[in-house]
Amino acid sequence: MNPSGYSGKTAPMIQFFHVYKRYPNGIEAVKDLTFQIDPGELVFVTGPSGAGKTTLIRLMLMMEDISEGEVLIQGRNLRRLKRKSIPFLRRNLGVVFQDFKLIPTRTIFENVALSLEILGIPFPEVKKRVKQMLEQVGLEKYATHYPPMLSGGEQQRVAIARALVNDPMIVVADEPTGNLDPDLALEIMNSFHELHKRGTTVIVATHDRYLLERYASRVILLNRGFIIQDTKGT
Amino acid sequence: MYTAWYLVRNGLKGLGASWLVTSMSTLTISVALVLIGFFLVFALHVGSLVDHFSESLRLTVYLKADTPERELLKFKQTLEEMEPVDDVRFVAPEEVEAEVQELLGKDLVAGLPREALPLQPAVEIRLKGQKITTEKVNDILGWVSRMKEVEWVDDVVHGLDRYRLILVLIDSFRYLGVLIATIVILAALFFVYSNIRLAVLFRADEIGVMRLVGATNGFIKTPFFLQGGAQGLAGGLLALLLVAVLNSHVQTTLTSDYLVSLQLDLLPAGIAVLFLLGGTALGLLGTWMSVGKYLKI
Repeated sequence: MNPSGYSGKTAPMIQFFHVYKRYPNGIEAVKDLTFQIDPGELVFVTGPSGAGKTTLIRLMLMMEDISEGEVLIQGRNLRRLKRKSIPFLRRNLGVVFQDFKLIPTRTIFENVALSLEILGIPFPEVKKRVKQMLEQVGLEKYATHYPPMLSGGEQQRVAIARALVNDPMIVVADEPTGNLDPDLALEIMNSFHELHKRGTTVIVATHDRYLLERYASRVILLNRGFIIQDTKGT
Repeated sequence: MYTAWYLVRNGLKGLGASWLVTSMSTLTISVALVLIGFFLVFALHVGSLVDHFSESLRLTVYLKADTPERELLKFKQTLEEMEPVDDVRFVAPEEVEAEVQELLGKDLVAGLPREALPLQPAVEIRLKGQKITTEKVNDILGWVSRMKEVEWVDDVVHGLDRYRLILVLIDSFRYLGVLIATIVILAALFFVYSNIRLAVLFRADEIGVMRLVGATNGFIKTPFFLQGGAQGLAGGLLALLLVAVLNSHVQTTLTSDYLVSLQLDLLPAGIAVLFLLGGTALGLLGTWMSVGKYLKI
């Protein structure tokens, strides 16, 4: 593997080359991360708290600067990306967080529509696509409701709808089931699995090993910032 | 088109989010503009008034009664060659007496001793029309004092001290105006700044989410600029309304109560444009300062 991103077959979707993240207080959150994720893969990133799962996701989203090494997404080297290009990178990444990150003062429709509004898509098209997306996650009847009126599982489905509505190549989820009961967690994980089956590259950071065992997918195990195991799914 | 509407809607939403600060900043912008407008109109009217006075600037030089005619002619010729002098006219003692009689009445003058009357030759000097400033008045006063040193000159009568006082008052009023307007402009900027700061804080979570889903800086910042600009424009419109009401009130009072027909337009077209553009500019400037500090992207 080399930083040009050329592997001889299908170009990888995501590549990490000896990536480090150091904070000013000297703490190294991730150390020497090297791996690649191919298009359409479902990858679980797991490990105990403080292992570096969230940092890995934040580096991919450019919410953190890379201290050392290279990260390539769809062949674009993030260290060479100008700050004003970051929004355009993020538009290709659907993101789901543990705390949903929904806007409480906007309706469910408006929350999902946000991903399309920033692209300047005309309203009739926005309306059509948001309606379809809400139907897909089973929340069409809540379109005019506000996030605090929904349960945790429903809110997470709204977040998933927002992440998927602009049809991203990659979906990244950071502890998406962290605040949910086991049944809801399974439901959410199933929706990621469905997404993967439709050809989307999905990366899910989770510490719930019980959930991982249900899916025969690739698992990257982190501990103290290092990759200690990278098992390919069956 | 939809994106533009989306941004406008969000900008207007921000106005209602903290209506008290929005009202305060709009009001302060309008007060700042009214004050600036007032001082501008004042400067305009006073300027033309002073220019009007300067056109009729005259000095009268009284010469000693025993001034020989040869010296008198020489003095007149010297004056005529001087730069600020437009015209020099010799006034004979008889003419002075006639003027005094016309002013005080023949009977009164007849009862006065001869030496009480300024019956001496005089030279009336009309100065060239020029823009009167404090420096100009000081120059002319210097010139007058040098003239007083001439052997045959008894006295020089002029109204320049009055001009100097008026000019000092006008200058003081201008400086005061600039000071007050600056303070009110700063207050207006502070209110817009605070209002936008509140709006940024109020929408902090939303801004965070927008960043994560790929909103550009322009997309995030534009609603705040629209909010600030709208506040400024509203302040400009309010200022326009206030001055229009004041203008109408002043005109009505002058014509009906005092029966004065005065062409005093407090709201010329230039001022109206200044209010609208100035208000919007103030709103945008306050927003730019606030967004630069609290919305670093």
